Amino acid sequence: MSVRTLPLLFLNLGGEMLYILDQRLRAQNIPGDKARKDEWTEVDRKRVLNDIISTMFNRKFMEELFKPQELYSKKALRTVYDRLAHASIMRLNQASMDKLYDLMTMAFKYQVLLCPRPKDVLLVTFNHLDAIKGFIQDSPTILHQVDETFQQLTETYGGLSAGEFQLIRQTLLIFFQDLHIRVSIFLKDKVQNSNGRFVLPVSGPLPWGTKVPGLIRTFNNKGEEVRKAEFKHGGSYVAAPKEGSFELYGDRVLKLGTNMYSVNRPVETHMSGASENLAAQTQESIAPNPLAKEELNLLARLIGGMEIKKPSGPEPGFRLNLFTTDEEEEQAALTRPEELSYEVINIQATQDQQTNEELARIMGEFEILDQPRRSASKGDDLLAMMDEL
Amino acid sequence: MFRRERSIPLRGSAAALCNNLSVLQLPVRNLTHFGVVHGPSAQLLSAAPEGVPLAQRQLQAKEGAGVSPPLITQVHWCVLPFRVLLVLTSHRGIQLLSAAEDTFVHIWKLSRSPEGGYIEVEHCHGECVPDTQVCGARFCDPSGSSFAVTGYDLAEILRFSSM
Repeated sequence: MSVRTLPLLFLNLGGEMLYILDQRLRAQNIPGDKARKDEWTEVDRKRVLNDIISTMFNRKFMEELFKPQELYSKKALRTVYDRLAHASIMRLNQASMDKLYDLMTMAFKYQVLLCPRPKDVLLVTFNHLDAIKGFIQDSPTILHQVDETFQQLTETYGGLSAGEFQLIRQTLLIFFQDLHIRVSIFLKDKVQNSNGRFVLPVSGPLPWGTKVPGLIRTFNNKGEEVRKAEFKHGGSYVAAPKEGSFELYGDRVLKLGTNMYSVNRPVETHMSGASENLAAQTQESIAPNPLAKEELNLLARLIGGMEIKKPSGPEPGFRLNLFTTDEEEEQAALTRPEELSYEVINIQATQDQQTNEELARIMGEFEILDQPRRSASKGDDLLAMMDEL
Repeated sequence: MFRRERSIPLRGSAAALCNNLSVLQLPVRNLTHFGVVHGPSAQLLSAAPEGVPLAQRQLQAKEGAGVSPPLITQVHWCVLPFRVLLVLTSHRGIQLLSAAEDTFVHIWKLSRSPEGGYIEVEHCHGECVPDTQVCGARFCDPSGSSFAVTGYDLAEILRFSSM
């Protein structure tokens, strides 16, 4: 599978996260002068988005992200977004974080699946970045960080062949396999069926550069066309009018990856019937994986590059609820199906512990909220910290 | 003309790989074996006529270096003169080429024209598999009167037979 997939996965999921948080914060928006101390205002919303975006596009973090590496598991990647979501004054309960991650992953899964060409996933990424720049128009420093990332995307992906993009696409689809959570706005817009599967249209524009199917052309050994015959294809496609732009600015043409949320459309997810193939899933989640520690080490390195700035002084964390009421949030936490739980796996510490200087340094950058524990090994500390997230 | 028959349920869904379906016919024993890649495992199952599932097994590729168990890229039955092999390939450094991926399965007839000796192509049948990105399609018998299809994220093998 492709070792160049992580940046695309991270940036697009991050983009969806920002769309959802922005919508939720706007929905709970109270005019500044009328707000109580614990209510969200426009200023708070902008601050949350600024903090998260500047953490996401931090140069050191981007450097780690763009290193060729395999994809993490869904559970491991969720840890990164958990840290990211808490890079601001905002706080999310477990149930809200679960819902947020569900929405993010289903949205990007939809976008990857519906991309006409494998290369179009880059246009989807650019759509997300364009929108992110819209959120931080007033902050030139962060805008510059985002533009630099644009540059890095163009350098990394601009010259890849169709086959390499196809491999990236397959790697992404493997990551999203067996996820069938139903999302209310997808169901309403009829892009998702009630069984959780996405609707694949059999009409509309073709991928850029693809001719309309329905014609068989026969050539002789000199390369001359000698015969033409038509056949009924079954779909009713039309040629794409123009290609999306891969420049820093331009019309992307593709709508996938643009913001589909708005204040008036609260988004619900439906858990029941969401997980098929229970056997396959639980096998993945409960079998002890001796390589999980390796994954956590790499993850620590990635998160270590995040450089999260904690607000100085006694500032209360504002809690954001992704559900309509607190009771609903509690209920969601209680009724979440076991197989969709994102709890970190508890792993028995292995016998041979290797002290890793680099890892120890990165762990030093983690903020430890409780008293430091006296435990036998650095590895155990790391796992324990992950459990606390 | 083909009509859809009863599907065979899979324990794990099909991965979005090219040619992700292998079929081995054993007419003597009235059995058909299927092989489908799920991710880190290959699923093997056997079915009786009419698609009645009999047995299902999962094979894992041996673990090598790396963060997670290696992903399987292809499973294929190879029929040799004195034995049948099951071949598994995994992803270390192998590139996969692009192939058309949409929701249609097409059956083409290839023949050589009697006059000029040209290869002729005729479209025999197009089947739309709704809301499914097809990953593999194979005939299930030498006469081509039935075929099976797998789709990304779909936990069943779809079967079609001619009317």
